[in-house]
Amino acid sequence: MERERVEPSQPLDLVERARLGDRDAFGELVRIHQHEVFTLAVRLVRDRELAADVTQDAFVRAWRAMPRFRGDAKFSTWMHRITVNTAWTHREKERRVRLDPLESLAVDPESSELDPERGGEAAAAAPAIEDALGLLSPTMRAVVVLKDIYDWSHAEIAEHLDISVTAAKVRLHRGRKELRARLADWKDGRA
Amino acid sequence: MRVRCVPTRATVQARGASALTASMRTHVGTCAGCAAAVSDARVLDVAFADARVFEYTAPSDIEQRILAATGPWAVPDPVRGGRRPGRAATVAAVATAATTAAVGTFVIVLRRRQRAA
Ligand SMILES: [Zn+2]
Repeated sequence: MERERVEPSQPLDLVERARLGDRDAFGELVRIHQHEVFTLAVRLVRDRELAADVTQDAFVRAWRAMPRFRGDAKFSTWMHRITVNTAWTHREKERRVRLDPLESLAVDPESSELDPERGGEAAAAAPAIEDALGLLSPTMRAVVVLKDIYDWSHAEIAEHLDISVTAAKVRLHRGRKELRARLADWKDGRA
Repeated sequence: MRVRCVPTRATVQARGASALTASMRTHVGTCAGCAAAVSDARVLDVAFADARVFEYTAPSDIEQRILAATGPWAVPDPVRGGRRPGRAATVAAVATAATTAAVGTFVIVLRRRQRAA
């Protein structure tokens, strides 16, 4: 089965119009990208309210930076970078949020609901990996999410998380090891 | 644990099951421990593939919040950058959304004229 993300159709001039200050065009970009930005934010901060704040803040930053967006990267890629930077500045807030490991974000029907119009489907292992990610430390989780889900390079991850490339590699290795153990339990539970 | 187990498991853990060499795959076929390690790695690969198509649904008011926070007063300026409203300003913007809608057209036209000038 094909599992590639369905890229929403995006007229090229939408970004260009937003770059020139067209709020309607920017609003359309928000409509197209809000869920993927929110998804990345949830994965990084593990709290829906905080993720909503990060999403709002990331788009506000993007709006302010639009005149400097030159289109050498895809808009979604650019938004991901802004979202990571924004989430990282919200880390202090995250430290004050008490996370209950038993409270699953992914199995909450409200939070995991997929809009069929956006394409894609809730795959079997997705809730399990989302839950398992929540048990990693923030930096380890961010490294694994950015490398294994968003396909960032070690150098990009190191730069945006303000850690060394070696530290990124070490955390990736440890994070994957923990996830493998968690998912093995999940697989055994299903068997 | 046999001699071939160490490199086999190191490869699986670092780069996944698809990175195994032919001799490592042969070893996996004869070693229950490495076979289990490969199986765990495949579960992780599948889980990441699933995560790439999984999306959380953003709150229904997020678009409104964003557009309120990027109100007409924050039109980006290539030189100075747009003025960013604080949280209080955001709340005020939402509260006065009806007024904004009523005068919005006028403000936008006025701003376009100012920019054109
Ligand atoms: Zn072995």
